[in-house]
Amino acid sequence: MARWPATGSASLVHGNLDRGWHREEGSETPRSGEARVRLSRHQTVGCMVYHSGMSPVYAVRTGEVSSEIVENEALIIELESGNYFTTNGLGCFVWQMLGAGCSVDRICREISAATDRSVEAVGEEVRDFIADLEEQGLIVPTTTLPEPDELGLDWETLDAQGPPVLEKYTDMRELLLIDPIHEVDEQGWPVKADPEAPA
Amino acid sequence: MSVAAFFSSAHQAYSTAVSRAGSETIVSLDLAGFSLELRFAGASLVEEVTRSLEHLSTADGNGRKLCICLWDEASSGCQLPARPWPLSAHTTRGEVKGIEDSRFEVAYGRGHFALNLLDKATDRALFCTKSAAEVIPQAWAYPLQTILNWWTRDLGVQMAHLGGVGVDGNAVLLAGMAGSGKSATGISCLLEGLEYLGDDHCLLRRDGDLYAYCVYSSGKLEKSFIGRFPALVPHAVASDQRDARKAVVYLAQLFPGRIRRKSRVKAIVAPILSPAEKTRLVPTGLSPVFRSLVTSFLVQTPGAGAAEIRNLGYLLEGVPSYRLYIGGDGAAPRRIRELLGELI
Repeated sequence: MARWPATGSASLVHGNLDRGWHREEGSETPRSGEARVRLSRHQTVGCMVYHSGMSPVYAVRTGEVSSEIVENEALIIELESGNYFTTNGLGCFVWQMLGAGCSVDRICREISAATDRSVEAVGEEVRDFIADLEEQGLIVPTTTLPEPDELGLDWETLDAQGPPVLEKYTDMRELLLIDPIHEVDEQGWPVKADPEAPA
Repeated sequence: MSVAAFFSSAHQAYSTAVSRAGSETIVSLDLAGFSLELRFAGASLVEEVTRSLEHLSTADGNGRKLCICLWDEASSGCQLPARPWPLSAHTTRGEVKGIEDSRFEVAYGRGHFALNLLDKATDRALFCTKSAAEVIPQAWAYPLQTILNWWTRDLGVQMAHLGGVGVDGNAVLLAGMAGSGKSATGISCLLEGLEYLGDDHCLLRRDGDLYAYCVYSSGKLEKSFIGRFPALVPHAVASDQRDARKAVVYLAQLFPGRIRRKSRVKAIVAPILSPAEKTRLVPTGLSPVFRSLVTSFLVQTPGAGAAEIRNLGYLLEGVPSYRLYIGGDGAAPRRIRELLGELI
C-alpha cells in the first residue's frame, strides 16, 4: 500500500492516458480564460550546453519548479510566474529521466531501445524538447547529478505517438496577478493593488 | 534579527495587545482530529475568523494541537516589530524570500494581506492584519488557510482547492478554477438536501479509503449571481469595496444539519457551465482535473510547492473523475445524487 509521501520522494501515478487534452492542435476549445500554447521547435537546437567529451546533463530548478506525473502526463509548475506546462507520451518519459539525472545521450538511448527507432532519429526530437524545457526556465545545465542505474520506467504505458511536445498554460499567471503581494509600504505591509488600475 | 527573534517579538506584541484589550478570547476547535486553539486579543477578529469555522467548535480534538494568536494592528494599537527582511523580499504569492530557518514559515496571505507565521517546533502560529476593516468579506470565508496548510501537510493531511457535497457520509469532491461553477454547484446541492463539505477548500486524508474534511462552512458567490438563490440573499455578506466581487453566506448558521465534517470520497467532479445543454456527467481522466486543482491551489497558497503536489498525487490516485456539464435545467444536484447512488 502506498504511504504518505516523504519529503524528497518521487510519486508516480499510473493509469489510463487521458486523450482529451492531446488532440491535434486547434481541435480543442480551451477553457474560458485559459491561455495555452503548444511549443514547437523544428530546426534549432536552442541553447544546449555541451561539455567536452560529455553528454549534457540537466537538473530541474528545485524550489522554483514542481512537478507530478498523473496518468502518464507530467504536470510542471513554475511557481514564481504561475505558468504551468504539460507533456505526455515521450515528453513525460524524458521529463522523468531528466529528473532522475540521465544525460541527454542516455535518454536518447533509452527511448531508442523502447521504441525501436534509431538513436539519431530520436536524438533530434529529444534535443529540441529539452531546449524548450531550458528556454522556459524549467531545467538548468548541471554536472553534479550521478547517472542513475535503474530508472524503473514502465514503457508499456507509452501509448502516444509522435515527438515530445511541451504545452504551456498562462491562465494561472493571470490569476496570480489579480491579487499580487509585491509592493509593500514602509512598515512592510503589502499594498493592495487598485482593481481599476490599468494592467 | 533572526526569524526566531522576530517571532518572539511579534508574540510579545500580541501579549501587549491582550493587555490593552483587557482580556483574551480563546476558541477551541477540532479539525480532522487535530486541536486548534485560537487566541484573540479581546474581541477583535473573533467574529470574522470564527464564523466559517463554528461547525468545528466541539472541542474534542485529542490529537496534536496548534495554537494561533490573532490580532490586528489598527484596533489594538500594537504594531508588529520591524521586519528583519528587506522590503524587496516579498514574492507575488506572498512568501518572504531568503529565510533560511526551516523551523519557521512566513508569508503574507492573499486576500487578508495578513502576516502569517508558524513555528513548527512549538506548534505556535501568529496571524496579524494591518486593519481588519480593510479585509474584504470574501477573504473571511476561508481564514487561516495559509497557516493550516503549512501545519497539516506534514501530518498526513492535505489542504486542497476542492469543494465537496455528499449523501450519508459519502461525497464527491468539486474541482475547478474560479468561475467554473464549483461554489454554485455546492450550494445548489446543499439547498436540495445534500450534505456540504465546503465550496473551495477541503482537507484530505487517506485512512484506507480517502476522506474529506470540511474546513470552512461558508459559501461564496458572485454578487451578481446570488439572486439566483433567493433563500440566501437576506443572509449574504457583501461589501461595496471595489475589489469585493463576491458575497459570502455562512451556511452552518442556516443549515446546521447539512454541514458534514467528514465524508468518504467516492469521486471527483469538475463542473463546467453549459447553459445550452442538459446537465450530464461524463467520465474523464484524472489528469485534467488534477491539473486544475493543483495549479489553482499552488498559485494561491503561499509556500505551497513540491510537498503539496506530491501529497495530492498520492491522495487522489485512482479516484474516479467526471466532468459535470451544468445545463439550465437545474439538474446538477440530482445527477450528483444519482452518481453517488451508483458508486456507494
